[in-house]
Amino acid sequence: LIPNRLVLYNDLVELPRLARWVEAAMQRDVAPDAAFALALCLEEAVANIIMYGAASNERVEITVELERTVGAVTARIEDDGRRFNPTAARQTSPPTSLVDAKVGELGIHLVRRFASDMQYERRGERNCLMLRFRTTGTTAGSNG
Amino acid sequence: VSEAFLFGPFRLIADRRELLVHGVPVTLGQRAFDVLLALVRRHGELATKDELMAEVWRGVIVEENSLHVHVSTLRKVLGAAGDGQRYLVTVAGRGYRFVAPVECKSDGNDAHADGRVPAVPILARGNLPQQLTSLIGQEATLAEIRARLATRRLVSLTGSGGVGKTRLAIEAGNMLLGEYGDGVWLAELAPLQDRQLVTAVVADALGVSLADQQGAMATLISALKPKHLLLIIDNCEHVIAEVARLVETLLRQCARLSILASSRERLAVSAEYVIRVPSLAVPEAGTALTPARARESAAVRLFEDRADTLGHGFTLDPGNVEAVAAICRRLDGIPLAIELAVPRLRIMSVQQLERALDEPFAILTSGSRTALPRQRTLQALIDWSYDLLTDPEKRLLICLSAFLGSTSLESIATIAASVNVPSNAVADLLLSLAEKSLVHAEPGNESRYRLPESIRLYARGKPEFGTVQARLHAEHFVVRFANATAAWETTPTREWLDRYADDVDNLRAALRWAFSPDGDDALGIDLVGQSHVMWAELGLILEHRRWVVEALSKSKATSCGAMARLLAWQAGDVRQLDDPADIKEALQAATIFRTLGDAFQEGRVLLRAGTAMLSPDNIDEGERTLCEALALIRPAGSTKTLARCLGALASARLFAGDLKQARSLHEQAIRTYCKVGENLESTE
Repeated sequence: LIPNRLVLYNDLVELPRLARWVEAAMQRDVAPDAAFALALCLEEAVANIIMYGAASNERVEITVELERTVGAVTARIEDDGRRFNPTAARQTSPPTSLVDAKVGELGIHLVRRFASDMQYERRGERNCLMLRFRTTGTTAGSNG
Repeated sequence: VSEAFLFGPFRLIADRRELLVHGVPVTLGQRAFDVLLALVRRHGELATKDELMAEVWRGVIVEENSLHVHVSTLRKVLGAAGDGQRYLVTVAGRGYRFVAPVECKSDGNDAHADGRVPAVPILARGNLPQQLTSLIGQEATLAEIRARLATRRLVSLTGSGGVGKTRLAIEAGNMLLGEYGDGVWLAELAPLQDRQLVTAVVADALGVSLADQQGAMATLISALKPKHLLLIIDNCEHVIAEVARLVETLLRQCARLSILASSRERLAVSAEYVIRVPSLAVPEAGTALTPARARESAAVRLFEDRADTLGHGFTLDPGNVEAVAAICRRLDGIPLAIELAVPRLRIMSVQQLERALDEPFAILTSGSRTALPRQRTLQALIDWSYDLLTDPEKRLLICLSAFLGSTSLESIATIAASVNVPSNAVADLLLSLAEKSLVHAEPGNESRYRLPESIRLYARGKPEFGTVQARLHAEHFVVRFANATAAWETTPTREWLDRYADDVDNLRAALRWAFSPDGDDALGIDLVGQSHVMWAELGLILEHRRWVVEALSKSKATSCGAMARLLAWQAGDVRQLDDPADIKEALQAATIFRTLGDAFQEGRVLLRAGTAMLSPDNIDEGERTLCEALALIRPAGSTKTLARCLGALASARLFAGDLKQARSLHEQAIRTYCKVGENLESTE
């Protein structure tokens, strides 16, 4: 059984682990093309946290959780690094503080293109990013 | 079946290569561990130097010095248990003997069953450094700190230099680890030269990232508000007003925060409880002393402990006890002064040392032997220690005072070479300075060295210290950070930080000097240009931006036009990503890198521009730029930047609906990350 939760550290070299895990987790019930887009979105989102959010001498833990429901996959990405809101992109006015600046590069475009929903929340000292993807070809009865 | 040895509070587990004290792992280098294992296996018997070197280094020819270094590390580690047990004895000219009783277990699994060494889980968090030497004679002060912190939220330790405030604060922190749910955290201010950065340094110590100056305090407060922790702020004296303001605000806003500050003077903040750290007690003059009576004084106990660590067979006996007591009195019981004096016992007797110490003080007091203010006692003793150094040792010590925080042997050797200290002599000279307590060696995978603050200030005050050393220091760190930036591409981040993160204090010192009136703006601009990755990896956004802004302001006055434009782009690196100016600056920077012939950096900025351009509605332009970038980045082999570039191209293909190519590019990206990741396994 594939665990539905993965813990990564803030190092780009962790990305292959994420790629393998997403692939294995999605294999059974998501169409391959949708799974690939989803994997790429998650990798970009996590890479952005590593590059711009989690930067710190301390080891930052990033957890990724996937939940499969009929017709959709919900990903929850949480980390205990500094405040980092990737949904705050494209502010029309120049940022007054750097806290919300420096938002994700590709991640934001990919997620906007492929995710049906995206929400960010700062919960206590954690960044919580929720992404929802509509899927086709899900198998009824799978509950992760 | 694993082999385990129990001695005192220690447990050594051979196959796990682990040394535990009271169940807590002790950090010990590989070689030091091997030396200890060899000694413990032969416990009670003489282990000759030749045997040890053959067993530990297995055919590698090393100097005897190396063995000596590891044995003295082991003495410190074993001595730090504070159980008064003697573990290692030097057999003059021949080798060493492990003399403590050892219990052998063939099975490590039942180790905890006998209850001798209960495992103590460390639940609390914090960043306190490990202490190599035992704290002697400050039990009462330690107890007072504990008692006061139980009822007060701000306790200050004051006292003159060399009295051991830092050591005491750390020891108190370790003692109180279990009392604070969110741990004990140490902010070390000695390396800080810029008073504006007090908040930033404290936040950094606590692992709180700050993004801008205006919001700094608010961010720190909101991070600390829910926490139950003890913050130790060490060496506040040179930025005392700023610390006082910070402490007052934090205590008002964060109800469960306690602060222990150390400083030569009090913070003068309301609700502060001041504990004056006394010198160690010394035996009264004019009383008949026995060794047992003398040991009632903490100063004598410290003297004896440090003399024992020398491994020259010192014992306190009726024949030398009077001289030891006289030395302790002469040194006012100042721990650092005693630690500086004792190593002379390698080359002289206690009586000779007593007479030798008369001289510097006779000059100061015109021979009257009246008491000196404590600060002058220490000063006189540092002077005395310095004058006894050889010329190369003096030159090296002055060189070392250019560094801030801890420094690698490699960095020290590079700068020393420029002041005529041959680099192959540096290790020996450092060892010699360390033996005289003028330099602290810090254990780890790569040894790092640090000057005690009183010594650093002394050496910097010497007329021989000047622009030469400061310039060499800055020049060296331009090169080191250029190497670090290149190494980042092919090194897993954790390992990279292990290697370079400790040099951030030196980076600050170099920048500070370079942008000072005596400095060199061009060097400063180079330093900023080469250290972006370091600031980014450490999450020091605020400080990063500060230096970029400073570099930009200086660049107008210099001819570094090219560098200035690069910085303009780099400034964009800490600005809003979707800002079109960012793309323009990245393209501009690419042109400059092309002129300079730096293909990889050109590719890197093109990757930046390309990813910023790329969106589902604008694939072509972005993808074209990314392809250009790929061609420039690829020749450098497997780098993080190559993997990022391949990933970006995979996204471009996905936008275009070309899944086959997208998958292939994605696979290449993952393979590249894997190759960079392998570098971790090969070096561990």
